[in-house]
Amino acid sequence: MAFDIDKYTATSVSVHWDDLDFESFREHPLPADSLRTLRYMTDVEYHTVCYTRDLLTTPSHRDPDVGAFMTMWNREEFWHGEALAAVLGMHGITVAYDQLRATRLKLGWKDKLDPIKQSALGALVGSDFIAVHMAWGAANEWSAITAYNRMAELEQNPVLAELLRRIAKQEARHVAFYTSQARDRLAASTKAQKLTRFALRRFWAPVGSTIMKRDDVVHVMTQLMTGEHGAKAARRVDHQIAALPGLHGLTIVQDALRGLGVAV
Amino acid sequence: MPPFDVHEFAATTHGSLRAELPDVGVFDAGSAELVETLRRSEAATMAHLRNVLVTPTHKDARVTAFLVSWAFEKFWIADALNAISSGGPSVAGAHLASSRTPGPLRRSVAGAFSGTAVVAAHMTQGLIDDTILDAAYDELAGRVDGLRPLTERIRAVKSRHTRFFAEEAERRLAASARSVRVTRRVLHRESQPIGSGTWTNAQRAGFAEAVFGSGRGAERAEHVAQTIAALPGVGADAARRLVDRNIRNLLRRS
Repeated sequence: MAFDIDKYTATSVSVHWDDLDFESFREHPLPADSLRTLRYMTDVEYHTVCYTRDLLTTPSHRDPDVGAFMTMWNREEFWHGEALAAVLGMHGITVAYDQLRATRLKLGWKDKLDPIKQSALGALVGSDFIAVHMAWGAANEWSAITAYNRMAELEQNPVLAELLRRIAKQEARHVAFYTSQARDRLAASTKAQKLTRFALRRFWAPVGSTIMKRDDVVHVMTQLMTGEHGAKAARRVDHQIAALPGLHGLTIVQDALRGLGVAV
Repeated sequence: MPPFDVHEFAATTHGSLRAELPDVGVFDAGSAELVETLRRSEAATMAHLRNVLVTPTHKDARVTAFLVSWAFEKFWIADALNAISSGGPSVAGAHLASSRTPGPLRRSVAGAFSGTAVVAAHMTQGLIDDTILDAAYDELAGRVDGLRPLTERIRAVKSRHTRFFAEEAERRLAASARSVRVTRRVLHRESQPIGSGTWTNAQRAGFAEAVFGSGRGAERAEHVAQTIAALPGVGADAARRLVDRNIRNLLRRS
């Protein structure tokens, strides 16, 4: 079914948590390994704007539906960052804009070259390049939902679980947008399929890999994606990605986990 | 005045204005054109973000946090303008169609070399853009009285953007001579309001004439010049040249 962009924009809200008892974290604090994972998630949500930048350098920004979606999506993801930062705040962990800035500054020349590469590629490949971004976005959003659900499952903390449920619900709408875009664009072009397949297989890495330290990536993936349930969740994301036109057989999540030395 | 609180701004953004749309019926062609130009300007957020985010501005998390909410508010302003210009709400697609502007490649290369100094230029552009569009809303309210409540509302929403841009531009320009140099270069190169570089000459002249061509036009142009001249290091001459190029020289000679 086609994604209804008008309905989405009209109902896009920032995630709310003022009705949740965050004070309960003082009495029942989350363990350090989960706080480390939540910190990772917070940074990734705040850094969404960096991914937006990559999308905007391609011809996709000319599509009005994509522009409308990105406006709302960016804001929703920013608020996921704010919500998770509030949880961390209850544990004495402050996420300041200056720290986020420092993380981005550390990326150095590689980060400066990214938009140059992206726009050059976008110009060379043309509109088929949008399919890559849409499939990539779908893979990221499926991973995000999986990560939030896994975190809720592992922690069994009712307040955290409810917040993560609300965040995952919004991520599900993002998935709907990305998959509807990716499906249409992939179905319409064999070239887009080949390009997307190549890009995902060759370059896809878990969300946050490019901005966070490898240690942190390994920690998060080990906590969320290992064990019986974790491995099953990783397989499920791979199945969802592989169901897109022309992407059958891809196992990018499990490949990435193996690449990180995380048992699957 | 305490510094602009980005968290508070993000927490109190204004969304859809559809419930507040006046029923003004059909208005004259000149006013309709002005509404359309404003709609196009407000809707150009993604094209502008594209140009801004490929530069080191995207690294400043406080600025990007602001821009996320700024784009959201402008989306809904464009939506309201689209609704009144077309006689009713329409598909989201209609109000975000961005123009084909040249260059993230050139901008990202230039941005990589100008470093964080380019943030000051983007903040200054935001301030000038807001100042010019505010004059346009003032003109629109004078032309179509029924639109005054909506333009007042829009101006109030945008006043927070203006405050952020002004504060950031002043602080950054005062702190760095390099920021001043980069800003002067950007202001010299790019047209105002933001996105007008992609308009036709007739569109640019029509907008200048409508807002600055008669009545309080000269006073408004002078206000734009003074706002720019008041920024640290930019100077009255550069401000005058910018206003001449983007406003005064476009006016029909009487």
